[in-house]
Amino acid sequence: MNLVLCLLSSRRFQTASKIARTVPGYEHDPEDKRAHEAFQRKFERDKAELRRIGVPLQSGVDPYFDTEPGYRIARSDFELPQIEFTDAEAAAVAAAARLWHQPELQSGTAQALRKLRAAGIDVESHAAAFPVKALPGTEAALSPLLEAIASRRAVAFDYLGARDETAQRRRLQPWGCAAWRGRWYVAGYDLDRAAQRVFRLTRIPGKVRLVGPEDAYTIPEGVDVLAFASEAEAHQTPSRAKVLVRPRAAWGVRRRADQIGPRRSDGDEVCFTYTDTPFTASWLASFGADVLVLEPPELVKETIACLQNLAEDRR
Amino acid sequence: MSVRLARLLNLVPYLVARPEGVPIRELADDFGVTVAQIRADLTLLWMCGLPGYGPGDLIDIAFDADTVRVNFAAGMDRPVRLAGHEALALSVALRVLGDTPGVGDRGAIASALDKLGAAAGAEAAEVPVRDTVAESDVERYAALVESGNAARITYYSASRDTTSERIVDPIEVVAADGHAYLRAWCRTANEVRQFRLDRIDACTVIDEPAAPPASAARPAGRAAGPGEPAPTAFLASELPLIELRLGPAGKGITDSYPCEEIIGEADGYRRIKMRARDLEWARRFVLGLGGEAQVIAPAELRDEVRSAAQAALDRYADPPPETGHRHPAAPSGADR
Repeated sequence: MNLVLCLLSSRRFQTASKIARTVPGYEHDPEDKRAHEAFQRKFERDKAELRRIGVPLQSGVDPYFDTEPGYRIARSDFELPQIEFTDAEAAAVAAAARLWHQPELQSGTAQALRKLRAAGIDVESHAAAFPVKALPGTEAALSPLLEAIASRRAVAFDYLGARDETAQRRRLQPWGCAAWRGRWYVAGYDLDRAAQRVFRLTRIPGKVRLVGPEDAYTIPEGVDVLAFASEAEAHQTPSRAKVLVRPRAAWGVRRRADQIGPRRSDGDEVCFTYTDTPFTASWLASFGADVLVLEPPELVKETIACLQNLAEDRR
Repeated sequence: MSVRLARLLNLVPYLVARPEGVPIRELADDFGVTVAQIRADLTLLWMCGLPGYGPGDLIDIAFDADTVRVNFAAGMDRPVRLAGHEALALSVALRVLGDTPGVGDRGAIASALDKLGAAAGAEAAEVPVRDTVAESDVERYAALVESGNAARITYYSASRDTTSERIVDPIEVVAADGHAYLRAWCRTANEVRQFRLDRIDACTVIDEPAAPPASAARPAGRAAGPGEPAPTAFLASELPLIELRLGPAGKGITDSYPCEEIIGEADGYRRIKMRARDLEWARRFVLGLGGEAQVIAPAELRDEVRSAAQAALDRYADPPPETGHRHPAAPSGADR
């Protein structure tokens, strides 16, 4: 706290040794090697903590007075600018702050609201009940990815692609995240494939780890993660499925059908379009013996595979 | 420690913005800490100030009759700018709101985003959001909730594979995981249910006010599983407990359904215990997971899943008898 006030109070750079002499809590005998090392560790820790809270520390050398580098905080960068919200804007901010379930993102919004409140803006008093409440999709991987993107660090995570049997370890220089159709995506440069790739966050079953140094890469200009995401999903061209549905059964399949018939003694032929083969196969398998998949062959094969998994005794 | 420092940095400007003084109780509540903690914070701030640290350099905070006000702020008049991750968490949430149909005032969301952008220090990363839900009729159901009327709906229940008609008292529309749901008190089931909008086949407003029980009107913290109700707490302990072993791809299950226990195993496998509405629901649920889940208990459910799958497999082994008329062009090879 005193460090902040000290650095704020002067427009000149304050060297570490001057800070040690003047700011309470840092006093020590610089000749005592161990005491000085302890001071340096504490000073480094405090600087990191201040940056985390959002305090912009500048470092530089004051050419007239010092030879060693010093630090200062520029008031214009430090202070929250004057900001005013209309009632409707405050209500939107309050609703947004309640959106997250993931702890890091939650604490980020909570900290932001506390700063606003300290500036005399109490958005929560404007909180209005919206008729529609939005909940973003699975977001556990989002926070570490955003952190990695902000510091330009690489990430490593296990990824279960649409065609993968088991999760594969991937290393990525992430460029950006986006939400499309209720799903989160991350795009970036895949270090193992040596190519640009897009990943669905719901297919990351474990933790996202930040690896390697900061500023390890630059994000290309004009990256459009939304375009990558929609393009990746669009590669799945729709197929026609034909299934045989038992009389008065599998209403879910009938509901989705765009064509029912011809009627056979053992059921009705039903046709519909689909894109995601594994997803559709497991859905069809859930109807058990009420549904027999006729076409196309890959859907028949995948449905049988699901059923075999389910029928297998794996105790 | 960093939590306390963040609080200390907010405390002084908070008091500067309220020169009339703030009761200490209110101050503690607003910062979400105890009165004793706030007193300790204020005492610490008293010892902070400008280099020199003489009487005129220190932060001066006055307590009178339990009201706190600041006399000298030592240059701490404004809170710190929003840190990158704080501004990002808030602005991404605002974008999600702005893109969800029926949520609030879009103009206000957009202008709030601009103002937050200015309040953030470093340039915040862009996280675009588009098409939060698949359903296109969200506005219609939002209007239904606003109207305060009850409604008669025809609903397809995927877990039962049946369509039924019921009278519901709408509570709110919830957008989650790419779909929009109507959360309502279902008079037929006598509990709160979530109806996925694309499974509502018909909806008629009835001339009767929506009257969900007071206990039901509380907003849901987390969406229940797709199309499924969150079991009400007092009932939950009476619902059958099922135990599953999930493969690595079964991650979405623990995100979408409340689990009572999750135990990690090697290779990304997990054992979970969850409450099922009944065993019929559980059977369809497990069958729909495509073999990603293996039933551990109860044995009855395990046997039912296995025999249902086997019965279906038998149909692929023996092609159905060709009794009816087959269209000559219809390929039949796929039957085998």
